[in-house]
Amino acid sequence: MAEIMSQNAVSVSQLNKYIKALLDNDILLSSIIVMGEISNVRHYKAGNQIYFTLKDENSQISCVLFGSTLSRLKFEPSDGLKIVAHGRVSVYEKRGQYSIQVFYMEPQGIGALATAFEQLKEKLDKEGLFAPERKTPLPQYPEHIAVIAAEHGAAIKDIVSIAKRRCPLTAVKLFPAVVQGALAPNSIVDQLQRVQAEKDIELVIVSRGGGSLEDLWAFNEEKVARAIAACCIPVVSAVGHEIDFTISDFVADLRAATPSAAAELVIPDLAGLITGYKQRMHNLIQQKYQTEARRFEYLKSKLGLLNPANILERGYSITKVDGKVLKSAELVRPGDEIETTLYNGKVLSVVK
Amino acid sequence: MLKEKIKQLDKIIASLDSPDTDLDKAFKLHEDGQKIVKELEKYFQKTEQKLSKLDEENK
Repeated sequence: MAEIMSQNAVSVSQLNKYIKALLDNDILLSSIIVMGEISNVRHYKAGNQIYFTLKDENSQISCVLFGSTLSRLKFEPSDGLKIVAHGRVSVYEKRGQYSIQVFYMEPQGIGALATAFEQLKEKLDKEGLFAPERKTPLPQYPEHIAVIAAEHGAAIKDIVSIAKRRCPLTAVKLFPAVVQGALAPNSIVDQLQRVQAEKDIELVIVSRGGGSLEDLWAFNEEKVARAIAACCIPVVSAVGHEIDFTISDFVADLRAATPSAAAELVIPDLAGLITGYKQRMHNLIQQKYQTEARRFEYLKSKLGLLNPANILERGYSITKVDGKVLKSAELVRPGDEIETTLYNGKVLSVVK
Repeated sequence: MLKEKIKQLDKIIASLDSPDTDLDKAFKLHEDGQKIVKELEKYFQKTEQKLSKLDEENK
């Protein structure tokens, strides 16, 4: 029996090779989509690989992600995350272990970009990059503003138009950038560096018009967020439409719903300012006039009350002896001449 | 001008209020006070006209 078995036995290598061939040639297993929960994530930086287990309630399977796939991932694979993965089932012959080599994966439900957004937002928030204490106050009347935006886009046109209307004295300088696609993050970061190298710039608006989550993605990249956080000039983030929120919005010193809104927020309304000052001056003059007029009326009425003639009118008189007002009877002797002033004249008398 | 005149009026009233001021002086002071009051009334009249003009300009 043993001899028969030995004659028909195959080696371990042969067996694993056979299994590998079966799996590699299976149409279903060479391109399969699997969903499950990630656990036991291990990073191997040297080989630029991630290993993890994909599981459900009853079973699990090993997975691996290699460098090229890893670089395309928009989110960080982490334990507990539920994903959908596309890959092929393969065997590592040496160990006789089968696993899924993942070509692409994304989180179940809300999608890769949304997950990446939430992950980065949480990470930067924990680092304190969104803290209100970090926000730099904007200058009240900036004379030189930088705008990082697409060269021929609607954003810069809107901002320049509003600047001309509100305050022609404010200089707006465009720092053109790629605002969409793979080149956008580096382009925006480079322009932020250039803005800070300029002497007179007091404020920078980082801006682009509306678009999808993918279109606006550059403003959710970590390097852009960190460049904005590190910028020594106040930054206004004005990306997309009212309902769009990007990581740049959270990390900037001020968020504006749109590029136009940014211009309205940072560029003073000169005409309105002048009208306001005129009104204020007018009010102050009015107040001053009323205060002084009230004081004058008070002094005028007091002067009236202190009119010496009023006292004499009531029947009082003033008596003088030798030109001095007589205040005591002891100061006169019989025979002294005295002069008494009454309301309507004087009387000369002799003391008895 | 206004501050100076108000100050003078203040001083006149303080003197009139004082028991040390004799009658002759009191009459003189009162007369001076009345002159200042007339000047200030003219001044306030002109100011009112200026303010009315400002009101019109700001409408």
